[in-house]
Order: sequence, then C-alpha cells, then structure tokens
Amino acid sequence: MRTYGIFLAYSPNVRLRSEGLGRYLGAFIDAAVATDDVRLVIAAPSWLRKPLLEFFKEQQIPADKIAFAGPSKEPLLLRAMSWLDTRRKVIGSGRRAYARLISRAKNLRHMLRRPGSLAAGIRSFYGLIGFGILLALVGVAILPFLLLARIIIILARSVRWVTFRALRLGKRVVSARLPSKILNPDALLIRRLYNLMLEREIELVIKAANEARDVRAWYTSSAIWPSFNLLKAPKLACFPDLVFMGFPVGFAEPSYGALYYQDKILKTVADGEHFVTYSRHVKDTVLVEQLAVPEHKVHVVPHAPQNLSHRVNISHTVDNEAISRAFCRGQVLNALGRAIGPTRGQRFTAVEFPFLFYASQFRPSKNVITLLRAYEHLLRRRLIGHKLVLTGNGDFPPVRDFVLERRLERDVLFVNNLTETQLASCYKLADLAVNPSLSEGGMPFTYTEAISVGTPVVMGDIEVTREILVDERVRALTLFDPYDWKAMADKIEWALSNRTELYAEQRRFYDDVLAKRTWRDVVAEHLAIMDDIARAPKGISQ
Amino acid sequence: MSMPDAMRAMWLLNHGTLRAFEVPQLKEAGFGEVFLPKSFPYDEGNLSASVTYSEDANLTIPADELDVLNSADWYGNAGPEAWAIANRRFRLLFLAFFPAQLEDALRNFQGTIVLRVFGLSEGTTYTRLIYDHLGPAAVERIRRLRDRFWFGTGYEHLHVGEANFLASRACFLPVGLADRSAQTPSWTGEDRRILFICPRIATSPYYEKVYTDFKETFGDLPHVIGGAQPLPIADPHVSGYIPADAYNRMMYGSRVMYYHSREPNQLHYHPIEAMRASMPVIFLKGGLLDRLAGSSVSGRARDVAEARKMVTRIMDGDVAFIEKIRQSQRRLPEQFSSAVMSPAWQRGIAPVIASARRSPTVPVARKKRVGVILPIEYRGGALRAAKNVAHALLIGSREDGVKLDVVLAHRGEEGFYRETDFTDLDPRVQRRPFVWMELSGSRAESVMSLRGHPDWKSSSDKYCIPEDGANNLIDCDAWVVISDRLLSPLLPLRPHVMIVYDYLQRYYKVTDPATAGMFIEANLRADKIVTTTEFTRRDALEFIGAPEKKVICLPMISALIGSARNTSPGKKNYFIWTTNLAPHKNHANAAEALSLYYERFGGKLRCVVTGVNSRKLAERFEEDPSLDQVEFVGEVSEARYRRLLEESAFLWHPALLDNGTFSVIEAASAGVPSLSSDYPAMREIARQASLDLAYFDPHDPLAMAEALSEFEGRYEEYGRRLPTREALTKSIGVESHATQYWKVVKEWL
Repeated sequence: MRTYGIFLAYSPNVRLRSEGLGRYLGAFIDAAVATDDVRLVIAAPSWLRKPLLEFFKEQQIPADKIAFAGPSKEPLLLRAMSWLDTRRKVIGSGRRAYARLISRAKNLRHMLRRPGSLAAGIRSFYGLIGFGILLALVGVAILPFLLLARIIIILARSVRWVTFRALRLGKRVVSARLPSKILNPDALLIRRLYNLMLEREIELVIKAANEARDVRAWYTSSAIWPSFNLLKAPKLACFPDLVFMGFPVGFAEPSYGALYYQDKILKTVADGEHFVTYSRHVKDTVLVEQLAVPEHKVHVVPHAPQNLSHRVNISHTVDNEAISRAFCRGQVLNALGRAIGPTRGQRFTAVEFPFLFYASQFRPSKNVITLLRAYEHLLRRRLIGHKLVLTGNGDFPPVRDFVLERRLERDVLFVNNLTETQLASCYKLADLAVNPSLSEGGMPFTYTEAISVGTPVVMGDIEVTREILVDERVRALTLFDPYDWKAMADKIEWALSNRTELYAEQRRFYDDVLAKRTWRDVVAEHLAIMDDIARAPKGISQ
Repeated sequence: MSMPDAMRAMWLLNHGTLRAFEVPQLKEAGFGEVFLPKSFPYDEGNLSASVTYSEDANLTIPADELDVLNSADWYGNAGPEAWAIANRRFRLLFLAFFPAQLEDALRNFQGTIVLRVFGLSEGTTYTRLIYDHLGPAAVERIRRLRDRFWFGTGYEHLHVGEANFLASRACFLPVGLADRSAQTPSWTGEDRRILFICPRIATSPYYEKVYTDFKETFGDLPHVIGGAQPLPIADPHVSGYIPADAYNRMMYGSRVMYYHSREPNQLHYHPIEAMRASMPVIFLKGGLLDRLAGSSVSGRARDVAEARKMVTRIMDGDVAFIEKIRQSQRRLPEQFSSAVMSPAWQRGIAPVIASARRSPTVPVARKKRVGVILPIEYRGGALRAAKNVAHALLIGSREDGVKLDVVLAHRGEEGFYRETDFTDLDPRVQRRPFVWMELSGSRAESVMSLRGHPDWKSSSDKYCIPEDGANNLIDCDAWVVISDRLLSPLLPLRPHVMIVYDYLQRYYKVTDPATAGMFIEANLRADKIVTTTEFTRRDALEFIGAPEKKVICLPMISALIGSARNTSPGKKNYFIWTTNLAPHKNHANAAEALSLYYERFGGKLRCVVTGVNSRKLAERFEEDPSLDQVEFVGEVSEARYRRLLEESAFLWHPALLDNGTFSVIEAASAGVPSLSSDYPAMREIARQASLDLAYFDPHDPLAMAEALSEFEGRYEEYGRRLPTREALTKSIGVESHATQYWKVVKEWL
C-alpha cells in the first residue's frame, strides 16, 4: 500500500463547495482512493474535518481509505466565536418565534370560549355560586404553575439586570469599551488571538503530518500556504495560477486580500520544492519566467474532464430524458428560491424559460461585465429572449450595479452556492453554456461540464484553452475574443442558431479526445511525479 | 345532456398495485367497462406508475374513439375531442391528486368525478393545495358539481381537517391489495440483513433525509436498501435497479423489514406486503401503520432506539421474538385483503354510483356576464383594444349560442374620459366607471371568507379590487383585464384573463423597478395570459417565466376606421409619422434619419407628425435647421387624422420595438402604404393582414434615411399592392376572430 499526503490549510468557515478548487480536490481524492494500492493522509486543521467529511459525502467519496493528521478538536476560541455567532442567529430566530406565538394568541380566545359561554348562560343564583366554586377550584389547581412561571420570569430579569449593571460598571472602571472589544469577533484583540490560533493550529498540523508514517510525499492543492514547506517528506505544491498579476487594478480592491495572498504564494514558491500546474502556459509564463523557478521543477498535469452526467442522467424509467429534465427543472426552481443579489425575492413558478449559463465566481478576471454587455445587446437588440443564469455572488457591486442600472434583474438571475446536482441541472437545462473568462490556470471546466450533460458551449479564446482544445474546427466553432463584447454576442447568437451542429462537433472532440483522459490518469501522473521526487536524492531534488 | 349508453368508468390513475385491487371493485359495482390511461407525467415522482392495455378489450366503444382516448394526455391536457368521447361514453371518472388533471376534469367532464386521495404529509391539506395550485375558481367549480364530485379517501379519516367543499363530499374507498397469487414467494429470512425501502435518495430531499436517518441508526448493522433509484447512489447497500429474481431474494429473504414512517396520513404498500409474506416488520409508534395495526400488534417501537433493539434481537436470531411478531402481524394484511376491503369499498362507492346513475341536474341557465377592465386611464390604442375585445366577446358568444352581457369597466376619476370617447362602443356593451380600492392582506382574507373561501390565505400585503359603486364587479362571472398594469394583486373573487400586448419593460425603462415587479406579479397571478403576437407570447414565457400552458396567443383584432379605400392616387407632398413621447418611439434616430433624408438624400416629401403630446417633440427638432420640413400637428381628431392619412404618400413607423402598431392597418384601409421598422411584431402584423410593408433597421439612421429616400419613389407601387378593405376585414377584423377570444374567456365562466 502506497501512502501519500495531502496538505490543506483553509481558514475556518471556508465553503469548499463554492471553491472551484473544492470540486477539483474532490475529483482528485475520489480518483486517488479508487486506486487499489493507494491510501491518503490528509493533514488539515481541526475545523476542516467536518466540512471535508460532509464534502466527501456530497461527492460520494468513500472515506475509509483516508486518514487525518492534525488536531481533531477545534480550539476553544474558535468554538466560542462560533457560539457567539450561533447565539446571534438563535436570538434572531427566537424573536421570530415569539412574534409567531403572539400572532397565534388569538387561538386562546377559542380556549376561553367554552367557559365564557357557560358563564354567560347562567340563569340562577345557585348556578352562579356553582360556577364560582368551579372557577376557584381551577384557580387553585393552576396557581402553583402560575407562581412558578412568575418566579422564573423574576429570576431571568434579575440575571439580566445584574449582567447589565456589571458590564456597565466594568466599562466605567476600565474606562474603555472593553466588553465590545472582547465580545466583538472583529475587534483587534480577538483578531490577534484568532491569528495566533490559526498559526498554532498549523504548527500542530505540521507536527502531526511529520509524525505520520509511510507518507512518500506530500501534495497541496494551493500555493497559498507557505507552511507546507515545513513538511519534511518530499513535497509537490499545486500552482493553479497567479491571477493578481494579470488584473492588478481589479484585485487591488482590499476585500480580495490579494496582497496578502500574493505574499503567501511568493513565499511558498520561493521556499518550495516541486510544483505542478494545470497548463504549460502558467508554467512558462508565470513560474519559469516571472518567478524564476527552474523548469525541471515545474510539472504540467492537465485536468481530466469534469463529467456531471451522473448527477442528472436518470435510468430505468419509462422516459429517462423527460424525467431527467423534469427533475432538473425542480432543482433549478429550488435554487432560484434561494437566489441572491437582484434575484432575491423574485417569484418563479416554473423553469420553462430558455437561458444561457455561466458557472463561476465573480472576480476581476472572469469578465462578467463584458458578458453582461454582450447579453444586453442580444436581449434588446437581437431579441434572443433567453435569460442569463450566473452562479456568482449577485451582490458583487460592479455586477449588481450593471444589472440594476440596465434593468436586467428579471433576465439576469443569480443562483449561488449550488449543490453539484443543481449545477448539473443548470447546465443541462441551459441552451448554451458561456465562459468569457480572460484568465484561468487550466482550461475551464465549463466545456466538459456542459458537454457531459448535452449542452453546447462557447468560450473565450485564451491560451490555456487552446492548449487543450487542439482541434482547429472545434476551436473555430467554440472560441471568441473575450475582450470583444460584440464578437462574444455574435458567437452566442450563432451558437444558439446552430446548437445541434455545434454540440455534435464538440461532443465528438469530447468523446474522441477529452474523455480518454480520466481523473485516475491525473492522479496517476501526480503520484508518479511524487514517486519520482521521493526517489530522487535530496541534493538533486532540492 | 344525454346519458352514456352503458355503465363505463374512466380510472385515470397509473398505480399498478392499486389498479389490481380497484378495477375489479369497479366491475363488481356494476361498471363492467373501465378505461385506463396509457400515459402519465414523466416526472421523477411517478416512478412506480405503469401502463396496461388489459381493459381495452372489454370496452364496447368504437375502435377509433378508443384510439383517441388512448393517445390523449389525461393528466391535464386531454383535449376537446377526447373529452367529447368521455362525456358521450362514460359516467364515472376516477383521478388522483394531480392539479392539472383535476382542473381539466372539472372543466370538461359532465359525469361524476371521484378525486382519489391517499393522504399527505402532516400539516398539508388537499384544500390548501387546491387553493394554491388552482385558486378559488376551482373551488367554485367543485361546489357547482354538487354530488357529481366526490372526495374518495383511501383511509377513513382523511377528510378530517379539509374544508367543507371536500369534507362534505367524502366517500371512504379503502386502499386494498389484490389477493396474493400462489406464485408469490414467502419469507425465508435466510439473509441476515435489515430490509429498508427508501426510493429516490438522490432526487428527493424527503427520502434523502429518511436515508440519512436510517444510516445513522442502523448503518452499522447489515442492511440492504431497496426502492427505485433514478440516480445512482455510491453506497453498496443501496440495491438500485435489480432483476426480478434478485428483487424477490431481497424482498422475501431479508431477515427483517424496518419501516420508518410516522406520517399520520400516509402509508406505503411495502410493509403490508412484507407482513403478508410473513416477514417481521419493525415500525414506529404514531404513524398510520400504527393506527391501523392497533397497540396490540408486536413490532411497534416507541422510538428509533427501541426499534434498533428490536431489529438487533431479530438479527441475532431470537426465534421466539420473531415468531411472536410474525404471528401478531399476520392479521394486519388481512385488513387490506379484498375479502375485508371489498364490502367497505362497495359501501363507499354506493352513493357515488347513485349520483352517476342519475342524469345530472342541469342548473338553471343564467345569463353570464364578463367584465372587460381597463386598469389605468388608457386612451388611444389600449382603449380601442378594450372596445374590440368587448365587441369580440359579444360576437363570439352569440355565434356559440350563449347569452352574454359584457361590461366595459374603465377608470371613473372625474374628467378623464369624455362621453365621446365611447361613441363607437357597441351599444350592447354596458359601460361602468370604477376606481381601485386597496385592501390589506387580512381584509382580503375577510372578504374571501365572506365570499365562501375561509381557507383561502393571502400571499400579499395588499390587494386591489374594482370599486364600481355597486358590488365590485362581482356580478361579472369572469374578468378580462386589458394589460398587466396592476399595482397590487387583483383579489381573486373572480377568475381573470389578462390580455398583455407587450412587455416593453424588458427592453426600455418604462417604470421604476418596484412597479415593474408588480406588473410581473400581476402576470404570475392571472389565470390566463393572452397575447396578440408570438413575440409577446415568448416574452410571457421567457421574461415573466409563466408556464407554457397558461399563455395563449390570439390573432390581433382591429375595427377598421373610415369607409373606403383611398381613391385619390397620384403624387403626394408629405408622409405621416404617428408617435408619442414613449422612449421606444426612437425619436433620436428618427430625427437623425430625417436630417440625413433631407440633407444627404435631398428628400422631397414633408413629414407630418401626429399623436398624443407629439408637439413637444418640436422643441428637439427646432435645433436642426435641416428639419424645417417636419411639421408637428399634435393630437388630432379621428376624422382629421383620417383626412391627413388619406392625403399622405405613406405612413412612416420608425419605433424600436413594441407589440406592433395598428396604424399600418389603418393606413392600409385608407389605401396608404407603410414604411416600417423591422421588428418581430410588425412582421407578424404584416403576415396576418397580408400587408406588403417596406422595412428598415431602426437602429441605423443612415439606413432609415436611405429607406425613406427609396420609398419616396416606390410608395405608389406599394400602394397598388395593398389588400382590399374586405380582405383586411377578413384577416384582422373583430368578426373574423371573435370566436377565438370567446373560447378563451368561456373556459372561465
């Protein structure tokens, strides 16, 4: 049995599902554990364990050949912060529940109706006495409960009063806003403690990983963790891309934290051993040329196709295709019910409308505004009628502003945080998948994800895509200049009018070329590289 | 209405197990001939449905009629021919709870209907679902059927909690199992595994949860999970699709069955079938199985922890315990046997049969009334459209032999409409002014409750209702709303058909986002959306997201103005441009095009501009000296417009996009050709009216100017090719298409 290590150091609360890398990692691990003589050790912080297990479950990856290295229990500070966060939500839901209770209080009227009508119907003095006795008996019976309830209320109020006073007193004594500094997770003190916690956690992960036995070599799916280089066994770091360099203005927006990540990436590269990229383009132009990594230390392992058909291909029914489409419509409708951005709150009763689909997060390199510009032209000048469904955050300011300003909110829909089944359903129901991206680490999954469920695709003509899409005819049919909104619009319009022909050509290339490669091949190539670097004498390897 | 010649029933369900029990019951009840549907909705929730032709041979109806019935979609769209046969040949109709199927039957079947129900999840009622999916109009239909509608409950208590219109029509038709054939295997228990039936794990959130819960409690014990899985599950314990032999081995060889459901109103067949095969079944307290079994039956667990203990004892081979459960559970399947169920079923169906034997009571024919509502203070085209629709309904109903009153309801705010605005209205159409009244959600519920819908729930903060000074147009049986310009949902006191001419807000800024959202909501809540172009129909589907069934495209209709074709051919000195200030009228490009036409192409014809507020455009044009040949005459009377039109060389229509303009029809009827922007609705108008329009690209001023220049030399030629007034009347006149309008509205009366 060969053992390989995977190192992950995502921060708490990262949503693996929404990370493109998450799906890549899933396919990678799935293929690795399916290899007979391979087992994996995942070195990861404690907070990733549960999300990873859930992720494996969603991806239907059997976890029995996977071991974890690193602390299993989350730090108390993290749990305290989660508790505070949960408490805030609970208080909110408690208030809602209380409001519901009050609104239902009118039901009490029904409960009181019977005794009320009895009292109103008394026709004699003796009857009145009898009713009074009955009322007194009932009162005596429920009195202890009323008293108990009263005591509980008084106690609760007292505790609240004492806490409030104590905090106010403490505030006066310290003469600073200490409570808010302690209780607010964003406060400086907490932030420092939090960062210390992250650092300590990674130290423990590294320690446990270095103690793990029989690990031939370590792999990490991202180059943003310089601590990966502290692992003792041979190491292979995946270097997807360095997108900030290409789009410095867009990524300078502080919320991206690009400077922080770029610093981490550069450190990882500077101290790193071997690297693997998804494309020759990234190897040549970024790692070798820009970052001066020796060419022999950079390996290229392209993706395998991302096949989504198993999520939507129905079998053993009277009409598999019809049932599959009905199922997908339900999935997309469900996703629309939880939509975000300008789509939030809009009502849809059915998903019978035609649409274009682009699955991607919104980042400066994704070229969403150009797509929107092309789409508006297609909708309002070329009258194509289709909606445009996007999976990025609809509250992302430039995109949201464009949509609202152009009054496209009923036609450009944002579905976010999709399950893989919902993603596959969107692809399947779309008339056309579009990917306008200007830069990627490897050919976008859009091509294989769309084709695998029967939908044609058009994509921006970028180098990483050309590396894989080697068939000239398929290139000509599929690619457009992503900087030219008009060219994009023309290609989309042409593709909508020639869906059958386009799909047939793309499917042929998918079947004949792309589908020949599997994730097992990808994993086997990685493992072969890891075996090689593990075998190489230390001096040569480093 | 004549009665069918034989006691025939349509059993419009596709559930195989139920069919095996229920069709023989129908025969025993005297319905010797039973029609079964040959298709069903291909959705993922219908996996256990099946089709059989086994009853066709017994039907004594002509083969061609049977062919029609067999090819019909009985789940919501059977069509008039199939319904005509159904009404001619069948007295009784069974259907399951599929809203579209129910609505289709309620609208079309004249015999007795049994809505077969088998229980819903706790907290849901059929009443609620009918209101949500079909609205108060369907409830009214059910009420009107009187004892021709029955609520056929599979379990005796299912009418509890339902509204009176269902509960009062309940008949208990117990769910039974066909008698067990001799070939059915018996339980062996040799396979030391728990059998758990859980279909659709990857496709149904409900079953996904059931699966997860089961795995949490029993996942460490040997188990097999049966049930259809349309999407594969990466769990070796899930059998998925398996051949019959393997299925039998699983079904009858497993040591014990665990049944999870605690639903008080729902029961699956498989635990009963397992008990019948003598397999011990462990089930939970509180579910319908528990209710039917009674507390004395063994195998009943208080909770999952106790269920696990019981299952473990059986897995460990506790023979005495196994035998105790088997003996105890033997009696339960007997309750489902035909020997026990048949008498109860026959008792339940007896009142239904009695009603089916009677000729239906024909309600006293009351003259129907339709309200055509103009929701805002429209003038011009929309007002004309409303008059045309009202006229079409009168003509259509008359041709159909139906007596109909039509009310044209228009905004009654003082000073807006003049009497002369309605001089061309058909005198048989009543006119009624109204203002909108707004109601809060709770007041709306009060109104609906008083109207007989106490179970209707509001789903909006506010509603609107026409206040006509009489009774809020409730005297009308259906409302036809001209356009979707409603600022809050129309209270559904009456079904309403909405005629929408365009969705310009998809292309231009016509209103603020909140108001645009209300217009969308108005569309979603309409019972039917009518468009008059295919382009607008597509927008209803694509922009609004309305289901295809709800939207219909009818031909455009127009009352032709004037009386004769232009008889004064020859050279003219102007062309006419009819416009207003709406953004889609393309003023900027039109101005640039006119400037080019006069400057670059030396255009010789003057341009006469008419229309509401069109004089205001003059200020914009004054800045360009080349446009001094453009004359703004503003809004003119119909007679003057007619004169201006007749003397013009041609009509110019440079708008960007809309539902098409009838001005080209009016021009054609006056013998004047048109030069028009090229967009889908104009092409559709030209096609319907056989007009030979000349087109240009309205986004390209140069092309517009070129087209003007070219048409200057060709308008006479185009004029000669215009259709005659008779041909225009035939293609686009109200009389020609009145029946189609009437048919759509009639569905809601």
